Amino acid sequence: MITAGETTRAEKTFAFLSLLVAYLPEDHYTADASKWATAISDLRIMYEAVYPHLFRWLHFRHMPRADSYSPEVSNFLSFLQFADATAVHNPGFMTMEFGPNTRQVLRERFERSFSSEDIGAIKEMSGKMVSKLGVSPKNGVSLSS
Amino acid sequence: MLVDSVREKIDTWVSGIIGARLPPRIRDFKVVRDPIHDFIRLHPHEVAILDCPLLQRLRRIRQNALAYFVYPGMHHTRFEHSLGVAHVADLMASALQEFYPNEVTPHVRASVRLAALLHDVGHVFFSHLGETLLEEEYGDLFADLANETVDGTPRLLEGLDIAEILSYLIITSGPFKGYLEQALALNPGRENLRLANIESTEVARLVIGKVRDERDRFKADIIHGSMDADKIDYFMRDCHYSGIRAEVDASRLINTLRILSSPDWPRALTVSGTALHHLEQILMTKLLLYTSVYQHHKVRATEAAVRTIYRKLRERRGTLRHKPLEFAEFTDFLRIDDSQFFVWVGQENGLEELVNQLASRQLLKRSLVLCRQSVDYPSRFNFLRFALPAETTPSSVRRVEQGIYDSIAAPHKVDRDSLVLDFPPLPDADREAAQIFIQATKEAQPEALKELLPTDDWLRSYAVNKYRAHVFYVSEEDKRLAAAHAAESAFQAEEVRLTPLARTLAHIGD
Repeated sequence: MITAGETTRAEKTFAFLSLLVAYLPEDHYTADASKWATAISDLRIMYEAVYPHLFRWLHFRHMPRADSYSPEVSNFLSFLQFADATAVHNPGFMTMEFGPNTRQVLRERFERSFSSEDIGAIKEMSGKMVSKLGVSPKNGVSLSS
Repeated sequence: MLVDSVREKIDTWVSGIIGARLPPRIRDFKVVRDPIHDFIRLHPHEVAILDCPLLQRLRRIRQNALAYFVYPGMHHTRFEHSLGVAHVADLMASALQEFYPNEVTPHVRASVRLAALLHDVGHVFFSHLGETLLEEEYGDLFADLANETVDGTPRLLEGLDIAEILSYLIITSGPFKGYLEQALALNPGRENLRLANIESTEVARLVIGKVRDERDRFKADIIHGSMDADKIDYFMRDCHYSGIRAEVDASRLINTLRILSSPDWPRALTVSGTALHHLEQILMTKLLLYTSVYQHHKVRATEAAVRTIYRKLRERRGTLRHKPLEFAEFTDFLRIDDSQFFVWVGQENGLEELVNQLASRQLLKRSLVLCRQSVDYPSRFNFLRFALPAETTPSSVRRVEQGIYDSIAAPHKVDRDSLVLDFPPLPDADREAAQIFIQATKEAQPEALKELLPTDDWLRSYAVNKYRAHVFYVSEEDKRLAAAHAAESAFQAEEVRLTPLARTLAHIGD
């Protein structure tokens, strides 16, 4: 039975994904959900051997020539949108924008869930993920407006 | 290897179910009248396989658990759905055979039909509801299993639901393999299907959508793809039995099916450009069913009642009369069907009342409805940590539940289980958007559905705006109002501020 203080699988996965986002350098990305899943799947290939606990509950469905699908990444992005932590604009121009404080709030909230070694690794992973997410110029619509 | 110990348990369970039973010899085709597809024609070997107790068990597992408490017609089972999937899969294969006779042979059609009949054999009682209980209990085991190499393929079972993993392991189990081989040998059929060459491992791979050779991708796509026979049948069937007026134009979609024919691409299932709006229709139907049926607040209340009973069973572990109800092994979830759950739990000391309440539809009611409009904007961000995937209960939910309970339990004299915070999962269309390919002509470059329509984005927006989480409590309105006040305070303590709409949507007010 789960007790009030216990961290669950879903929470650990959510915390890891949150920190990956928190350490991104920008707020605006052209990647859609499946490009996010693909970028994180690529990170798993690179880092899983050393940090298996970070990836243990993340799952992917791959198909050659197609972007990957991950139910956990999908859920994460949906709930960010629910919370207005992200907004989706014209996908031809910009797919996803994080709110002005989103990355900072995620960092403050979830850093304490990880060891300093894990945090160093997650920062490195975020840096490697950026190029796959496609940094977009900020368009006219802003979450802060 | 973990997989070996899991297989051993599955083999024991399958062996116990099949026992010494031998498949029958069937003289001829059989025809089943189905309300969705009219006549479903079954080959002799298929009838023999359906005769296996493993398949007959599906007659006692309803497709949508307890949704019939809300939609009285929704009594349909995994058994009739399996027949329907076999029928639709055959229509799909037949449509492809016309264009690709060398690839879609009678043997391929037979394999695909067999996979369709067997695809749900791993479902536990109450279908997906039971599966979430199984995941809560044994999620770590199946997460680790998904990371293992199985039958020579690394991570073969990754990205699958637990029921799908169980289906794979059951179909490839020793006892079922034996039954299948005998059924095929005894019932060769009149057509030249080369049934003896059908291997259970290949059928099982179609069931989980993983092929050894990407040239066979379309076969798996028919059973476990982004627009497979499973979805087509359950959309049509669930709409029919719920009475919801949504259409899936299956015939039109099936007639646009092709196999990807670009060099260096997998031979995956694709559709021609004319199918675009039928795909949209299917995806919209999926969302409609989620919001109207699967996540209807009363359906969620029935699920909350089952979870409560499950918790009570766990508290009584070691003392129960019916040992499978202790769920000491993951296979215990397979040993129980929907009816047995009610009967057996009703025979356990101290649980009769709970079961009677559920059976007579005395359900908890809403005290608050949490949605995008009823959670105040700046605090919506804090709401995130509650709305995590449903297979585990986040600690934040436990804290709020405890906070509400502490302030109202004594005056109301209610049991701890009379209060439930319910956060359903969010549906998505990401897989369909990324992994359905449209190829306008044979020469055209295939394009993912999302390149033509931002389906994932607009369906996510729809789902997010329709999302409803609930605080459930006892039916008396004054008590629900008190619970609503207590819940508002408990959420406030977690920096989640609710608007008055949260109560209005629950139909209670000061």
